[in-house]
Amino acid sequence: MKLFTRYNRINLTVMVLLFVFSGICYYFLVNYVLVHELDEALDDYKIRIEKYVEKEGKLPPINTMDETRVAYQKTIQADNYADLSTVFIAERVEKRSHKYRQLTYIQKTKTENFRITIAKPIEGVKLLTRTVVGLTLAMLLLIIATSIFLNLIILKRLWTPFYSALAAMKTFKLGKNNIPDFPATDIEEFTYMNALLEKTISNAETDYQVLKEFTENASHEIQTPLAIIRSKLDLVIQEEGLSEKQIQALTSVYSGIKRLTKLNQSLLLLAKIENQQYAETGQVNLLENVQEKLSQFQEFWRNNEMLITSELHPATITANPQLIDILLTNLIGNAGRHNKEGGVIAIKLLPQEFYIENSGPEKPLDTDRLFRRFYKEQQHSQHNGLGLSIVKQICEQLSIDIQYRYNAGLHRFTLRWD
Amino acid sequence: MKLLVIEDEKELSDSICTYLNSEQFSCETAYDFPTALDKVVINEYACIILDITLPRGSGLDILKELKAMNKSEGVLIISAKNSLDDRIKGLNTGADDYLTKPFHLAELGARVAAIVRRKSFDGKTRVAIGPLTLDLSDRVLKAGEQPVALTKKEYELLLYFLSNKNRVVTKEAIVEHLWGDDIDMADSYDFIYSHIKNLRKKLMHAGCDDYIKAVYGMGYKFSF
Repeated sequence: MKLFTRYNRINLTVMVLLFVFSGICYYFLVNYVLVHELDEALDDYKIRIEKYVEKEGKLPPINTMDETRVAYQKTIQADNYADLSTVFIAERVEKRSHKYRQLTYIQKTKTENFRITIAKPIEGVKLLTRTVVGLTLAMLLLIIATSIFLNLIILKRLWTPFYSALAAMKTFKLGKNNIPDFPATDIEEFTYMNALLEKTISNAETDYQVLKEFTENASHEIQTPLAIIRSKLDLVIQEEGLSEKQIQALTSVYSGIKRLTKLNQSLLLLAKIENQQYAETGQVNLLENVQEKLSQFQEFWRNNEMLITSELHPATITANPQLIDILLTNLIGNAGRHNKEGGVIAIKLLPQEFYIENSGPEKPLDTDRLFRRFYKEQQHSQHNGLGLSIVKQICEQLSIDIQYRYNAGLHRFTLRWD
Repeated sequence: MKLLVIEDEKELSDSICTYLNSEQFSCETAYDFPTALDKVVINEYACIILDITLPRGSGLDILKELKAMNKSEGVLIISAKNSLDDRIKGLNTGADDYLTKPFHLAELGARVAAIVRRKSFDGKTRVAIGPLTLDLSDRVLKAGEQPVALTKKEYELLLYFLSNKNRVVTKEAIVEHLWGDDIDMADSYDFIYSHIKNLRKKLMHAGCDDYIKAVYGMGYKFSF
């Protein structure tokens, strides 16, 4: 629900309730005043009758043309009885009853007692009710129209800085180092909000930068000790007469160093891709690249007896050539590495699509964790589990859509681009 | 021939010197910028191995100084930074080659040998391998005047062995040299065996003794 709508709903509900309530109050108040007026008029009439009786000794004659209805009735009652009430009296001509305010009291003349009934119609009240209801409705409509107008025109204008701030935030992505530009506003709340957003964003950006630099610096710092260890190893193996045990140990150290070096290089590569250090792009001929990679790998795979089929059509992509090279190396390398003896690899390159399919483990990979760093099918694997993270990172960088699919023992990665 | 190793990590510098010191080369070392600059100005070297990040200065400034003095020393940069930008920057400043840490000493040996060959003889040189001659400018191996047919990989392999003569070279180093280090087939290096076998067969067929010795579990040693 939009803030406007919520605000409108509350606003209008309260307004409607308030107007209905005030309408009712107004109605009763005016009704009361009018009845009170009538009562006074009836009282005046009574006084006039009393005065007439006092002067003339008899009741005044009844004027039938007047709207005031008067009736005399002999009674033996003699107390000082007086009663004011609202009654319905059937009309002789119109055949329907009208509401009257009626005063009944006992008037003494010299000889007899009369019950005198004076009644005046409460006609004005009907009109009054109509007027009050009409007025209330009219005011309600006016209020609704006004608030809709206010919300549409004025509020929207008032909220403009808020919406532009939102739009600016939408374009923001951590690590791209483009702090959104919040338009200046003279509304204090929005200025405060914008200042806060800007501060939070630049803090986050700084922290992120520091983290990225840390990864890169740490990786660089690790290179030198690695270089020392490797160079010492290269010297040790020059020694004559190493024992078999020593050689085995050295081989293990070599492979450990190699893994560490690879791991470090992969982390560094990820940091660099995130740091936009491969932002330069150009037209890359994918057909040539894939063919070259394939022929390189086929040399490695010669002993593995894998069946490699490829269907390659000319294709190009606007991308960083190094990233494409790394991407293909990782994808094709994985297809061979995680294959089984006598397995298959199928590669297809179309103008806007590339897929590589390989036989391998008889169960699908965990798609949720597939592209995460250090994801491995087997914990003791020699590989660092960064290959697919790098693939994913490159695809994101180059706006390539990557999908994984498993079907009957075949693992397929499909890339699509525009 | 004299080499200068400008590297602030003493241990690494020592390893490099120990490996490169031979009948052909003798190494000098410099651990910081001023010492390095002094040595470069005063002496002539066949090749300078240069680290970029040095105490009290940048290796690139030494490179600029060399160029300003019109010295023709070959320079091999060794750096922990492996981005293309750093590489291009180093090569544009006048370095002959760029090697990223960590590296195999055999790789360093091959690169240094290549630079020295290029600088000393303008690339036109012949190296004798027993009864054979390796023509580096034409990239052919000859037995007398008779060329020995080598594949591209076999030729590179031979040159690599030659540059690391009398040194044990690991299979891993050979693979990285011939196929590049981004192709990571750590599982097994056995596939290079066929290349070695073929090269050995061709060399012996052309009249050499068996110069390529397998070092058990480690790699190979080329000596004659």
